[in-house]
Amino acid sequence: MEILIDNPLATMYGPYFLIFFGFVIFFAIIILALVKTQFDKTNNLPIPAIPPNIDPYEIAYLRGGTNEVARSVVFSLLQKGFIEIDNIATPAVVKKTFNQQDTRNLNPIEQLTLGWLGYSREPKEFFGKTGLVEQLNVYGNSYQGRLEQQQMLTSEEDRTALNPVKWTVYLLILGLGGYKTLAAIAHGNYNIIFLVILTVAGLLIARTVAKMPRITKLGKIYLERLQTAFDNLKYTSQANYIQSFRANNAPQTTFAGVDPLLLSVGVFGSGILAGTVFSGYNDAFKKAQQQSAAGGSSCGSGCGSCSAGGSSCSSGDGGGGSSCGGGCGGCGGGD
Amino acid sequence: MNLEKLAKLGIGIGFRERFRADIFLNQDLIDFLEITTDHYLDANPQKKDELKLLKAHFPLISHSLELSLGSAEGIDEEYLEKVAELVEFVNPQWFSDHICFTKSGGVKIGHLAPVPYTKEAIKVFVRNISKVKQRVKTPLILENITYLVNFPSSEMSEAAFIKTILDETDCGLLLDVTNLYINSRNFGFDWRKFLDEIPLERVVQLHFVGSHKHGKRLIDAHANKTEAEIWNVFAEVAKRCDIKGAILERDENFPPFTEILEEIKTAHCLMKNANIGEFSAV
Ligand SMILES: [Fe+2]
Repeated sequence: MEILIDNPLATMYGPYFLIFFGFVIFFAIIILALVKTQFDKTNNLPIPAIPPNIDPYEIAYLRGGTNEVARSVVFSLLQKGFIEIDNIATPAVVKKTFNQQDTRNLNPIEQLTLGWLGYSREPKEFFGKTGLVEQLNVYGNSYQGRLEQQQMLTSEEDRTALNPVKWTVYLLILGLGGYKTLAAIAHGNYNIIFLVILTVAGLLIARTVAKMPRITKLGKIYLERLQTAFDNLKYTSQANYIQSFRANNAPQTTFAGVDPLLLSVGVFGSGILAGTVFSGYNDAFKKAQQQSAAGGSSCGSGCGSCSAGGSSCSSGDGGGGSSCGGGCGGCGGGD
Repeated sequence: MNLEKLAKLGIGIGFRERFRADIFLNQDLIDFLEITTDHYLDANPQKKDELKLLKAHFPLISHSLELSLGSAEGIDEEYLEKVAELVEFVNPQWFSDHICFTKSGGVKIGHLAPVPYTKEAIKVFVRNISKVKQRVKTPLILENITYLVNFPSSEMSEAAFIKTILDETDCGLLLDVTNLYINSRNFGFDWRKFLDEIPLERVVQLHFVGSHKHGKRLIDAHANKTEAEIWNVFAEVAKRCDIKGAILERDENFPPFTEILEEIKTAHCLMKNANIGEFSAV
């Protein structure tokens, strides 16, 4: 048994051991990081095409989980005039307006949100344990499943695949640090503070490195692609709301039935509302959590989308009225 | 060139950056896009990403501005090389440029300039086009332009000039129906007779947009909604030719995108049902 406390490692001069241990931690973490990046090969997959009837809530989920869906749906209701934000009250309050007709035209996510809101709520309640985010998890789980299937979000399976390497690195750091600590104590050397600090720091760094990102490489590429495709929408959709107060007007819609400002919020986040009539919304919600802890049940069914899809007849921005319903016989475009 | 074998692309628009989001939101209504080749030569990473994005979602056609096929000094080989590389990347069904010159003495003149309709000019086009075709194997189609003067030195009509070039170079025609209508109004000829004279079997693609009144003349400002008279030219051409695609060219005075989509729908109708009656002017 003497060999356990009387070998080159156990008797190594303290500062030399710290240098050796530092190198071991460094290389173990490098290997961990390399293995982790090797797990995500989704950047080699074909990038999904942008669908014409894009769902802004799904994009919001991809970007930031159920929290971002909650932010987007609140914005949508605000823009449609169903709710308003009282920023004069301290803290700010989100409350229903008197305009509650035609809620049937709202999609299920928006209806659920309006139902949960009751009369009024504080923004922080949205993200609490019994908050809106919790209610929206049913939709979040569905988005999670679909996006995992498309390999744009990291699945639980992918996360656990890293466990053997991760635990090997943890055990190596903890084992080596712990062993040297015991050996030092056995030799009557109690000056072990740097050794303990190095062990704990190594474990914390390894834990951080071992975390699989929520969005896969493919998911990031797809998000960047969406941001490129809808870049100019960010400015054009804001423009109508900067000069005059139009929050209670019907939202602007494109021909495809997707509200451009809501899509902008989904793709770029609510930061784009700064400077518009909706900046009060942004102020009230900016302190809320950014990250969602949405779990992933795999359910392929679609969640309520704000896009009407299908119909190709709606009025254009600023009154460029379009004639609807004419088949080939109805081509009156010449006038 | 076997033009009949080219795929039918349908109706699309000339891609402009400000249309980008609307184009993606209305993909099912836009069959293809025409990109301006020159916007992607020496492109920055953003433009390269944009091109990849467009290519992943739409059939693309590249339309260049500066081949200057009518320049007696010959083709700018450096420019041709860049166009060729872009065409190889885009891999379009066909690519296009204009029946004009845009460079003189190696200097860009900044617009599409007409040439006198002479045998000598035809020789220049034939020589230059042959050089382009040696480098780029994708079918080349040529577009008719507008002009402000009729050269006294011209030896033939515009239609005869175009016909001879197309026959001698075996190229297709990108018939800009707006340019044809504008020229017919400005110079008092019948566009139907023009159609009788050109080889209609070589018409591959159309361009259309509204004309713009400038004093007593019409110009091709690409700034107006297509008017009834131009739809009539479109309808007549659609009736008489096997068109593979038509592009709405809008560069100025941008309307709500719904108006663009309405024009695309109208063009679709005319392509599908070439027997539709005459459009009535407002
Ligand atoms: Fe044109």
